[in-house]
Amino acid sequence: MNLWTLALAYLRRNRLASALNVLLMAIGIATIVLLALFAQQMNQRMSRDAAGVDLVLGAKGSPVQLILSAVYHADVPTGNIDYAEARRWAQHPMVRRAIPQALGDSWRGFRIVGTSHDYPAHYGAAIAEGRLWQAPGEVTVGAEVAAAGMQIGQSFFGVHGFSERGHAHENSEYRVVGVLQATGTVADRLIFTGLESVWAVHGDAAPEAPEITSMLLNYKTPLAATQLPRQINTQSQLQAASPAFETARLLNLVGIGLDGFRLFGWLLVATAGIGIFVALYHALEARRYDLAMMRCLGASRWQVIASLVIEALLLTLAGAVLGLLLGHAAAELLGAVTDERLVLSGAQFLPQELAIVAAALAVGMVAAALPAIRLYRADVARILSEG
Amino acid sequence: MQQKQGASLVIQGLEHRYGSRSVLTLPDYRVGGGEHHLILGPSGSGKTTLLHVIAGLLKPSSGSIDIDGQALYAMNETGRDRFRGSHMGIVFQRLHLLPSLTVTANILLAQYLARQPQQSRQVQVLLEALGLGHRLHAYPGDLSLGEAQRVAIARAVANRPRLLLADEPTSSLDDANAATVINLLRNQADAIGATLLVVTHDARIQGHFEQRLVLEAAA
Repeated sequence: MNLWTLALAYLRRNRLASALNVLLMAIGIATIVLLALFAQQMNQRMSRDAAGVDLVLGAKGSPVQLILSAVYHADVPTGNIDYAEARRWAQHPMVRRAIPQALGDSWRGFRIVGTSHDYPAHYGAAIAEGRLWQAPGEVTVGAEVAAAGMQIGQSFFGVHGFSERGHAHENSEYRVVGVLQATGTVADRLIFTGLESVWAVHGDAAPEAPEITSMLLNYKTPLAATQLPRQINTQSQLQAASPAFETARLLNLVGIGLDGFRLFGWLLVATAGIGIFVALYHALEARRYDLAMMRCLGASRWQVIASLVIEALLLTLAGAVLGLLLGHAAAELLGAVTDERLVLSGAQFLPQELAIVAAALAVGMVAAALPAIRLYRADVARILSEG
Repeated sequence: MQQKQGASLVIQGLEHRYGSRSVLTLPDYRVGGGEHHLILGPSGSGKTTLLHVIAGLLKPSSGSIDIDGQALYAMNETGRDRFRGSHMGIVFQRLHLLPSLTVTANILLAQYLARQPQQSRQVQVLLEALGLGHRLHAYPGDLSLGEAQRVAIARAVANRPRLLLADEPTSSLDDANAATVINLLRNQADAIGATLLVVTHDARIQGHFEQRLVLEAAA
């Protein structure tokens, strides 16, 4: 016997109320952890996808849409731009590398990207099998596309737009010549081909005034960030958007929604705290003789208080641990059942989880504070003479 | 096993007041080591107050209580708690067994709180000696009154205290059971060599004690 086993014995005796408080706490913590994992991993994923892309050139329109379509391939393009004009900017002395892309078609929701060999290289996607595209009509596919059933030697028609039911371009067939290694980036979900292939599908493999959808720029110098976007936006028909800036804006908007859920999670934790407070306060009344008897058996005032605080600690700790497990399990489950674009994994632990657990413990301690103070003031002799 | 000597008790100039109302006065009272005393008095005579004072639970308004020459109220509260845990065993009328602990665990808790080694084997032997061998893992709620009473006595003597205090141990019992409990207390006190002090208004048990202190109801 010690104070811990004593606290456990009391919790077992009130197992229904104990379980309820643990569950409330656990669901609250799980919600908070799930959101933290989601925000963190979405952030990581988005910054990985946008890494090295300093500026995107595209048609005028919404800058967020341009970034979503050109970098994350999660929206329709803003329109087409003149390739020649884009190339002029690509040769600007402050630009290290420029990757053109012509978008428009897809296969089973995977986007077909007409581009240069720089694109897969930019994401570090080496060849896993076969080779990179050369001739018009040849494609090299990302790892997830290959996993979806696209193998070397397979032929297919692109579908106009981004949906699976769009109009098929049956005049020109693509053929898979290579598969890329998985990179954990957007490149895994793309079907790469030459610019000419995309032009050919839409009418002319060598158009007089070729157009592309967008161009991804990588700066030579950080100084470019202060000058190039303004130059482009004022001196040309093009729009220049910064992925870092637009992504931050977007995450900020999403963050407001997440904040609401997070508040809900803390509300649950607070409710659990109140539940624990009520349980302890009730225990104080129900067990006044037990607690007085402990003093008669030699326990100090502090030991008696500790026995009550330990109960709060055990409840919160159980709730926090269960909440962490639930949160990670939910993240893993959500990642497994939802679209692969929501890459959520439970196998990551965040430093802030320690802070979440600490905050939960603090809630438990606050819940125990008032009962502890009352217990400190309790007069054993008076309690015993009430009998 | 070496027999411990029961504690002696010396009370001098004791008075306890609630506000200006005096509830207990006891100018001089001495109990020799190993003696069995009965403190008899009607309700309102301050006998429960006296028990709490002797147990170190209630600091009296004035006067001194020495147990084996140690001034009880010269110690601080935590010191008295420790002293009580290791030197005293108390049996209350309402037994105050902890309902969420088994019979064995109740007694192990007493050893733990008194900072004594927890000896399950010794506890089992003690409970068997009190006819509770079949109730080691029962919860207090499942015991008969007689069984619960014996568990409470077992808990009080488990740490081999030198002073055994009992507050109205027989009030809720019939004649036969009252006699059984008194004999049990006396036998247990002798077995561990403890001084026994029984506080009661139950006149039926007077005959069991040669040494009696009768408290008058406060005026």
